Amino acid sequence: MRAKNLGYALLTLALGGTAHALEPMVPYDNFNPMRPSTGRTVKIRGLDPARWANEQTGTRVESVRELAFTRLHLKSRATAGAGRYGLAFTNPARVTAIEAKVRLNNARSLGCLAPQAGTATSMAELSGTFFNAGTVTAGSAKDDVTAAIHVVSRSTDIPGSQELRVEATVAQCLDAACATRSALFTQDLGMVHQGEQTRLRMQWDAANHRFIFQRDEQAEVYGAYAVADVQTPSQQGKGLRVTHELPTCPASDPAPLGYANAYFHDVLVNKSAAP
Amino acid sequence: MQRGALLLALAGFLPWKAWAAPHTTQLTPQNAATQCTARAPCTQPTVDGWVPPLEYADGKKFPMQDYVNGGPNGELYLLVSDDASYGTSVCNTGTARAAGIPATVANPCVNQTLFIGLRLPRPKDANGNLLNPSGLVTVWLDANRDDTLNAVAGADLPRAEDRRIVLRYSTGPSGISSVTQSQGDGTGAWVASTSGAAWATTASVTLPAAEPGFVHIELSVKLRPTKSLTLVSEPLTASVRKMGLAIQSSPFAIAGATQKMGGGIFYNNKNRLPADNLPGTWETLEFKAPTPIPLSLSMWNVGQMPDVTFWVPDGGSGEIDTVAQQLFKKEVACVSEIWMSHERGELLEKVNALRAAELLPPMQAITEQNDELLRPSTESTGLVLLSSRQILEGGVHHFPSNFCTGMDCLQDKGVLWARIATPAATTPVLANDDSGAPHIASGTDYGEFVDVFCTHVNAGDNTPGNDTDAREKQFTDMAAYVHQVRQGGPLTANSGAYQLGDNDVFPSGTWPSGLDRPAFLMGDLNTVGPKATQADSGFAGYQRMMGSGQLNLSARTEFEKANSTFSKARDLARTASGADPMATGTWVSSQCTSDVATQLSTRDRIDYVLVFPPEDGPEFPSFALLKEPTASVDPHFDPDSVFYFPELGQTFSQCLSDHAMVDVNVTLARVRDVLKYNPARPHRVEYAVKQVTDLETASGCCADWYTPRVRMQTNGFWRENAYLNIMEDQIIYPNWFVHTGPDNPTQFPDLPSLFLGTASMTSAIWEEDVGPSDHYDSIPEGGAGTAVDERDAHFTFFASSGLFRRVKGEAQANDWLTPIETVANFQSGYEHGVTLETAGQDHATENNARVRHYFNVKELEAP
Repeated sequence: MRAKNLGYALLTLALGGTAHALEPMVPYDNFNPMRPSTGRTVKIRGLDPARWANEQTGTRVESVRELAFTRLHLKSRATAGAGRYGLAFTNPARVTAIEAKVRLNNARSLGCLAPQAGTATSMAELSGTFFNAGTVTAGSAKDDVTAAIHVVSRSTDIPGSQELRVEATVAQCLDAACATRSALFTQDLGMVHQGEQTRLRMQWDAANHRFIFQRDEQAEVYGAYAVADVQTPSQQGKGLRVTHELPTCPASDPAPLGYANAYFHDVLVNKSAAP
Repeated sequence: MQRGALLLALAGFLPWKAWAAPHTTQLTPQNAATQCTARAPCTQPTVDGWVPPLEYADGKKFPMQDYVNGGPNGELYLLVSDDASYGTSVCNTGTARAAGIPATVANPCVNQTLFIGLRLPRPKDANGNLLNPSGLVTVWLDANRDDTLNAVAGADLPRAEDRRIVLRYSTGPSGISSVTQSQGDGTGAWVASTSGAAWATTASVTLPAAEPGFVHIELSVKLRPTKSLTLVSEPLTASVRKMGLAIQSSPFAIAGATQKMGGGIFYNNKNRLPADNLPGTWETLEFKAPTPIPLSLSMWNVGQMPDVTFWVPDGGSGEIDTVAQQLFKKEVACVSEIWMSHERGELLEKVNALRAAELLPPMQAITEQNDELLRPSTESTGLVLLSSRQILEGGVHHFPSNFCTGMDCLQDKGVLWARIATPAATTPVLANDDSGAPHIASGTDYGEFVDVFCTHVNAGDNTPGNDTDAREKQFTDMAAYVHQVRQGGPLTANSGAYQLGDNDVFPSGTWPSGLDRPAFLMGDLNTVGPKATQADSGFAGYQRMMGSGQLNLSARTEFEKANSTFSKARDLARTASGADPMATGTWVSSQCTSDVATQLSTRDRIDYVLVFPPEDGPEFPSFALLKEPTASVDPHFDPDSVFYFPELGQTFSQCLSDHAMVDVNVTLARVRDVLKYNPARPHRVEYAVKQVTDLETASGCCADWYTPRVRMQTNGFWRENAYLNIMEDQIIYPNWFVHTGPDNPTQFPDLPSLFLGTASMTSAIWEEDVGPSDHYDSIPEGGAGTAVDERDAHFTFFASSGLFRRVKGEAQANDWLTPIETVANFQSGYEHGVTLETAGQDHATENNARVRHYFNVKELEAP
């Protein structure tokens, strides 16, 4: 990090959230077609296509993406590679903040027999690509900067444990497919039980060159970065997702597993992104 | 294919004669060899002219309705004893006599005998004074019944083996009675039986002082010739086990009587009088077990904790989808500890999605759902009562808020009620129209139901203290609630034994009583109970729970004292039906792993399926429980929790819940036959909306229902009721009603006897919305049309024929008479009414509801 940027980051950390007024959060979708949180002229059966687009990368052996009474239900079970599965905002460019109640009901991550072969992870997350820190190249995610707040299960967790971890991350893509990333910020936000609901918020505070993360009523956490943030990202996309990232194990090992079964509801966004 | 269309298709395959065949009644013979012991002696009638119903408790009860003269109904009791002979110590002995049975009874009891008991109303003069009746009771007996049924040549007429027994009686100071017996001559005539050929018969007629309004008539008939050398009873032989039977009571006119009364027939059918010389018109009495009505009940605490109590983890690793996998094929299930409203809604969605994938009809449910932001998620019972059978009525009761301790006070525990249609309710029934042409009735017989309750009571210690005090108050409260629900409401108990709690949801008005049959309570009762043969005395809390003052389940009813056929069990999952009868522990703990299935006999039993018996008294119930229910207790494991411990070389699974599931299979049987529509009597006509289900969206919560219009018109009068208080839920059980009778604010009289007109009714289903409220479509006809005839169901009852039909509408006067479907014919029964579901199909607005309509034509007490 260059000295100037570091100093700027420290300054913004010191000022915290008081330096600039951010857009207020407003309801985006409560996943209740009987009583939608924002007005609709027509009744929607199921998920609202005006608000959400299906999104999936990688492969999986089982998946569920459905409206479950008054929640979004996402489930993914994968045995290889990496991928995400969920719903993307239909207007990602206007979305600078996302909040939702998230409940990772069940998650299991199984890696290779030899721990050094790599860690398997499974997550439920609010995430997106917010800007490009370099020179935008069409079709390439290189230098796109992603931020996420997620509930994560890792293969290094104690077997049979019901404990998961909430984390906030900011990362910069290092290649066109964003297969490798450079972490700009990582913060542990504490443990959560499987099946325990947690309210997560993530907000891009561009004016202060940082992301604001918050879990439930805990204090806000600021993820400052020291990269340029004025370019629109090459790969626009923000949404609610379950993800898996699995190591490649020796053929003699059992197949790795990335399993996440999660619910999301009461989604809020920054006011200008409201439908 | 919809049910209506399916039934019509079935009707096309039915040969007319198949339905015109003789009707059949099952009567289980009392078998001295298998039912009667010195420890539990049987009861058999004594032919003394006093007919206490419980003398016939091992038999069956039938109504005697006088379709010619009207008047109060009489009662007929039948009991038959089997081939085995009785010892002196196994029948009509001992001290535990049921109510009404006299101290002196016949002993030893007799085998191979048909007992007939009649209680017939006595006529009165203009001043209400009782008069002394006289009349005839004719009994026809068809031996070699199979010949008649198989149309063997000559068997269509009474033959030498058939008998006609005529009891001529008069009562009062100079009353006499005489019995004559005839046998068929094969040509259609009857000739006197010789003494050697006569079937031994005794008879007695009295006017008992203990029941002055009735004459009691009692007969016994030995089911073989008196001097038979073989002692074989042809009707009771193993290859036969049947006979033809018809009974007719024909009262004589009595001087000064305002009305002739006391007539009636067996089998009770207005349109099928027994013909004197046509055995094919008599009932076939089959000596075998009654038609079984099976039902399975499941109880499972699934431990889905509220989102807000993050410090309390779920009971197991199960979630709504994995829980649904274990429940979607159940018949009736009580599920506790789903504390979040949206998870209760999701459970219903998930089980129905799984059922749809296997082409099963959707489950119905009683639960609480709301979308009120300020109402805490824990402010509910946390219960879901699922049923794959129709739910006819339902309600929610919360225990008083001070009946709790500790963390339980953050919740709002209570009990759910569902009145569930048994399989017998939807057995196809033919309804003849005005021309006599048969139609398969589309309605569900409301009389074929059981009441099921689902509860979860205060947690905590089992040693006496605050926790047990709170729990026991809940038991007392619940027992009182259960009783008032079963008796048919209204729920107005704040001044009584229990209190209606906050946010209680219950039907308005009244509904048919269910005290005439067993009811079931499923629940996590948080009270440790005995397993299998363990003595109750080792479980003081359990004893108190089952005893008087709390659930009040310990005492035997009078019917149970006299009956030797049915189950007397109260605690159905106390003993497992598998290899280990002790394997009924249900509390498997949150550390449960795959080896727990072998440890259930060592675990505490706190989840129950209990039986509330029919109301105690000196009468028959309508239904009883066949011996013996079966039970199993099983933990369920999470398929996603399988993990391998290399150090132990073992694979483990976590339980979905910290409670095992309790499954019970019961079989009900009818022991009292139903009343039928008798136009010679006055009637009250009732119509109600019993259930409304929102079909508008695939998911979501919740509709706000009301109705501006529940209307009935008959006999030149009309009544229209509005229920404008919003009921919020995806499924509601409102009982929005209208009925004839003097309690209406405007004149709307009951139907008089011999009324031959029509009664018509309709209802409108509305949902309050942010914008204009929506008039929901509740009928498949009409599409997106907005006229009432295109959205609302309309019905007409035709009093002359007993037919009840869904009709076209009300735009034109004739539309009320234009049939769409035949729902029922009340001459076939429907003693408690009929229900029908209709559903809208407006694909433009999707404002569609599925509505359960209820109709009853209820016989009024004669003056």
